[in-house]
Parts: sequence; C-alpha cells; structure tokens
Amino acid sequence: MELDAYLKQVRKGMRGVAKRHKNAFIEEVAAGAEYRGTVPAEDPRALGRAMRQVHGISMWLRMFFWITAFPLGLLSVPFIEAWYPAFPATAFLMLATVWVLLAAYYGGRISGLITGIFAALPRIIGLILFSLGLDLVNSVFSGYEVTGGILFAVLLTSAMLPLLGFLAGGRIRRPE
Amino acid sequence: MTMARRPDAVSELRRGALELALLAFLDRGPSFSGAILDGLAAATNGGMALTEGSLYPALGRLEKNGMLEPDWRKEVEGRRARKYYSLTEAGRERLEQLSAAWAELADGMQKLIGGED
Repeated sequence: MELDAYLKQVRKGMRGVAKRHKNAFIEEVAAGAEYRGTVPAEDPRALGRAMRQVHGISMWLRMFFWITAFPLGLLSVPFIEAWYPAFPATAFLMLATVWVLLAAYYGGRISGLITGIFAALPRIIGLILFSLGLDLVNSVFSGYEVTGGILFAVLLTSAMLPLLGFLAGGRIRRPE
Repeated sequence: MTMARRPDAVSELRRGALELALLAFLDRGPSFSGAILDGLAAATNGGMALTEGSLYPALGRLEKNGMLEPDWRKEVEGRRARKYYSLTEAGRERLEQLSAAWAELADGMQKLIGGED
C-alpha cells in the first residue's frame, strides 16, 4: 500500500479525534515510514482506532453526543403516550440506548456515563412530575393508567442508561 | 464494535514489559518512533521486537501521562520532521519504580523456575 493511501486509512480510523492530535500522529507515522523506507505492516484503521483510544474523541463530538442525548431521552418518556397513544416512546428509548453505546464506544467510560445522564435526565424529570400528580394524571387521562410498577420500570430503565454507558465504555474500548 | 482478541501468554509478558522497555530505552537519550522500533529490537536481541501497532499507542499513553516530552525536529532538509521523545522527571521516577519491581519479579521468577529454595 502506498504511504498516502495508508495515512488516509489511519485518518479514517481516528475519526472523531481532535484535529491537532490527528494531524500530529499522521505526520509522525509518515516520518517513521520515511525513516524505515516502508509503510507499517499494521492494519491502518486498527492503528488509527488504537490512537483514538489514547486521545479519545474531541470535546465537540462529546458535546454533540451529550446534547443530542437529551431530546432522545425526552422523546423516550413513556408518559407522552398519555397524550399520543401511538407515540413510539419505546423506539426512542432503544435509540437513546444505542446513542449511549455509541458515545461509550467512541468516547469511553466518562463520555458514555455523561451521555447516559443526559438521556436519563428528562425521563427522571417526567417520572417525578407524574409521581407527584399520579392521581390527577389517572383521572385526566381515563384511558391511560400509570401504576407504581410503570413508574418503577421507568426509573430502572432511566438508571440503566448512564450505567450502561459507563460499563460499555470500559468494556468495548479495551486496548487490543 | 471490535472486541479485544485474547492474546497469548508471551504477548502478555511483552505487553507487561513494554512501558519499562520504552522508558529504559529512552533513558539512553531522546529518540523517535522508527529508531525506537529498530533500536529496541536490537538492544533486546529481538526480545522486544515491536510493531507500530503497539509502539505508537504506548508512546501516546506515556506522553499523555506526562512521562515523555515530545519535540519535533527537522534534521534533514527536504525530509519530514521527526517527533523525538525524551524522559521527563515523572518518566524517570516511573522508570526507577518499574526497574525495581522488575528486578524483584525477575529474581523471584528465576528462583521459582530454577527450583531454588
């Protein structure tokens, strides 16, 4: 493989890493290849991914994960179904879970944890509001009954999101 | 999502000694990746023949943890600048700790393997 093509693949493997780290590493690999007269035998994408584990993802990407997790969490609040019975809150919960896992994969434990907290936050707020006005909710929405079991399930799945992000961040980013 | 492959025992031993080997090699003087790869293999009679895949992340981690200080040097006109690594004070302290631990471990293991009491 030509050096330029190799470096391009390394860069792809480092997707999400801050530009200054990426550029410095590409320059270092290029200088190393120049010195040794050959491109590294290592798979370029795997090398890029290994370096992403060292540097982590950029602050912008972390913030993108966090900020996007909030509306996903909001749309996963099951009580929306009281107003719109056909609303796919469960699908949004699955989407939020995948989002948390992606944040953990790219950003590690802390990123997974914080993304999970951002996704869980609107669910917890919804839970508190509905818990406080449970009798009122059940009387207003005659076709939608909120029981203690449902509230517990919402609490459990909400707590699961940051926990999952934290645990997955440690597991799937283990150095090769 | 990639899961880690299960490395064999010899690779595990090498991986455990990698940080010490790099610090000890750089204690001889500043060096850059290509020269570290060749130099380390030669200095250990091939015992620590690394690939770029293990060298670069290890250097990156040591630098991130403040054990190594990078310095970009353009030595030859028309050639790319090379990233030289040198030990910091924290790196030297870490080297001392690891060297002592290594000596103790190697001594104990030698006794065990050699069947000494």
